Order: sequence, then C-alpha cells, then structure tokens
Amino acid sequence: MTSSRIAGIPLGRGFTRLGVLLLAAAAPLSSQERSTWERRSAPTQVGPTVFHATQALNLPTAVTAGAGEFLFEISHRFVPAISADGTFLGLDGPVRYRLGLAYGISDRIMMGLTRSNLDDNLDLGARIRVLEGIAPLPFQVAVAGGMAWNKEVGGLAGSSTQYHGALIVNAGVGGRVALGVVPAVVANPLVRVDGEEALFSMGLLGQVYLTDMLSLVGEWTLTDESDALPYDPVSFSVEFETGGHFFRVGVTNSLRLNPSQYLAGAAQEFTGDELRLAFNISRVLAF
Amino acid sequence: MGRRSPRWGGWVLASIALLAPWMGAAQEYHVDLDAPRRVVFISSTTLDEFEGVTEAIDGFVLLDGQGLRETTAPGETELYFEVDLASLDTGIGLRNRHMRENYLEVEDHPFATFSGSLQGMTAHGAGFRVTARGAFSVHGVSRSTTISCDVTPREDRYAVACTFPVRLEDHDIEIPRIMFMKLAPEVRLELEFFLEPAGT
Repeated sequence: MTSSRIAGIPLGRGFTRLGVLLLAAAAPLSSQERSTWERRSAPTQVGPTVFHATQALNLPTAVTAGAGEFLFEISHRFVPAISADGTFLGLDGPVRYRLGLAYGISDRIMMGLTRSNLDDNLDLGARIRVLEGIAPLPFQVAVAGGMAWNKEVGGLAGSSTQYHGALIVNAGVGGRVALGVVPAVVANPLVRVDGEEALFSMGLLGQVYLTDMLSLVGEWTLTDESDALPYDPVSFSVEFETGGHFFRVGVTNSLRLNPSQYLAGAAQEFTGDELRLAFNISRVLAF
Repeated sequence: MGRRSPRWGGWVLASIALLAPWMGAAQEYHVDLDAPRRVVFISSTTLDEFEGVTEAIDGFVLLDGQGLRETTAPGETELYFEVDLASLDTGIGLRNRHMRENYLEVEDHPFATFSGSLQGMTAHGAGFRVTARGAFSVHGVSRSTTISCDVTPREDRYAVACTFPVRLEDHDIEIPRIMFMKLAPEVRLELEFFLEPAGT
C-alpha cells in the first residue's frame, strides 16, 4: 500500500487538493483581521465660555488673557454730552482716556497696568480666575484687586492712593447670553475728599451675543451715593469681536475709567441729556 | 531514494494552511504616544500667516504581515488616524476659542479623522513615499482624498511625515470674511509621528 489513509480517506492526490483548499481558505483570514486599537484618551476638555472679553465698557469679567499673551487696551469717554451743541456728538472732545497693558501670567492669572488721564490715575491690578464649571450653567468665578495712585492729586503717597477689590461671578444662559455680578469695594474712593470711608458697590452686567461677531452689552453699577458722585454708572454698548480684537462703542453717564474711579459712582445721571459716547478697543498680542 | 510521493506535497500545503494565520498575520502598528508627535495646520494669506499645533494624534496601521515594502498589497492594508481638534493651539487664546467654537465646532465634531488604505509605495531616501487613499473627515463632513507621506523605518518603528491641503469649504467650514481674522480658504496640514508595533 503506497498511500496512507486517514479515517478511511485515501491520502495522496486527494490530500494535496485538500491542502490547496485549506490554504485558499486560510489566506483571506489574515486580510480580514481587524485592529486592536482603541482610543487611548478622551477628547480635550476646555473650560466653559461665558463672556468672551475681559471687560465690558467698565466692569470686568472672569476672562483673563491666555498664558504669555499681552492685552492692549485704549478707551475713550468724550466729555461733552452727545446732545451738546457744536461738539459733533461729543467727539470734538475733550476726552477722558485710558491706556492699558495686561499680561497673562498663566491661563488663569492676569496682571495689568492702566493709566487714566483723569487725576493721572495709574492702576496696578491683578485678576485670578479661581473657579469654573458647566453645571448647572456654564460659570466662571474670579477675584480681582489692585491699587491706584493719583499723581495729579498728591503724588505717590497719602490720600492719593486707592485700593480696590472685587469678586466676579459670571454665568452663561443658552450659549448666547452672559450674566455677571461684581460686588466690589474701594478704599479711599474720593481722592479729593479727606476721610471718605470705603465704598461698596454691586456691578450688574449682561451681554447678548447676536452673532459670532456682534453682541449687545449693558452694565449698571449700584453704588452708595456721595455728594461728588451721586449717580450709578450705567452704560450700553455694542461689541464687535474679531480674531484678536474687541471693539465696543456705546453710551454712558460715567467719565471715570479705572476701577477705583468708576466703582465710586458717576457725576451725571443716566438721562438723555447726559449721555456720553464711549468706546474701547482691546487687542490680544502674542509674541 | 525514490521519487517524492505526492502525499508530501499535501502535507506541506496543509501545514502552510494551518500556519498561515500566524505566518501571514497582519502586522499592526499604533501611533507611539511616547514619541514626539506634531500636527500643524498652516493658514497663509497675503496679510497674515498663523498655525495651529497639537500633539494629540492617535491611530493605527494594519499591514499585510511582511512589513512595508514596495510590493505591499494595497488591499491588505488599513489606516486610521484621528486628531483631537480641541487641543489645537494657535498661540492666541481668543483665536483658539474662535477656531473651536465658530469654525471647527469641536463640541459636535471633536476629531478630524482619516480612514483608508495604502495605494502605492515607492522607495524614497531611506524609506518609502507612500500614497494613501481614504476618507478625510473634519467638521462632520467627510471627503475622499489622497495623501502622500514619507515613511522611514527606525529599528522596529516607522517615522511618518505627511503633508496635504484641505479646502475648508469642502468641509462646510465657514471662512471668516471680516477684518482681522485672516483664515485662508485652503490650509496645509502637516503631520509627524512614529508608529510602533501594537502591544509594545
């Protein structure tokens, strides 16, 4: 017997055919294999977006400049009322202006130096975003504080120095609305009046984002009345947001731009005859 | 010694058949997460150029069991790569947010993916110039595309470098037409990473 048998089946040419069939059947197995790969990390989670900019016309938000970024700002408040004759809506001036430069020490900590030409007020401030989350609403919480020197009043000592601090609580509603409350305190609020006690205020801020670029902003800072500044600062503005800029133009009754100034109140009432044109431009700079 | 019996041929073929799943088993490579990785999109206009960078790329390559070579059978290969778009950093936080929220909409479409197979390989320098065809998906819109990569063996790994253009409107990504945000209609993608054998 020259050919072997398995289970009675003769091997030989038939077994060769069987081998070919097995080989043909086995070949596709390798190509049908599937990867063992599985995603090894979840998608990056970024913090919630509430307000887009670091400030409204006056009140701050919990937004800070990114780590390593500079934020340049120039703001104007035109002294003549919009209704004043012969001033081209107040644009002929004079103006109160503020120049500022802030720096993001980290994605949560920002320091800035701003100068207002009102009283030659030089303000060194810091803002730290301490908390944020998405439940039950997107929210961010920051603390801010600083000190200001009013060089035009008394040099760099004594009553010309002011201190201020604020808690900033922001929340978003429906992706298109941002709300903020800013309880704040200013020590030595009226640098030209001796013995003024610290003044507490409550800032209220709302912004409606109509498109990716365009939004409406309203803010109202409830302050204690004083003889010099008997009214609450109020403003409404339109904000344009672009790749690295925020541009705001609006109306306000406050000509006071730095925190130790606008938190103390306004000299004019928010009525039609007392409204002033205001604008801010801020630009993110990264090197 | 007599003539080889036909039954030996049968034994050989049967043995090969039984061993084939192991001998010719697909080789799987994963992106080496411990090695440098870099994914860059470059937007270049006459007024401005900026780039977004991330290292968050992952994925795999299945080969036909005999390594990468000029005769690698395209049908025996499979590729999949994905990039975590929320991790892209353009260097400006505000611009990052615009990219995430306004243009890429990463909350709904967190990954850009490429899924396909190798189409051709030619010797190129110390490695291969590889052409892959498949579906590139970003912003939830998938388009058939062909990409070209340089693949260089490095011991048991492969170094991969790919470049290909992406037209934003092909993926329904809005191109900002207002001042300052100078995003080009077509951006260039550059990918660099290593592949290592799966399980290492």
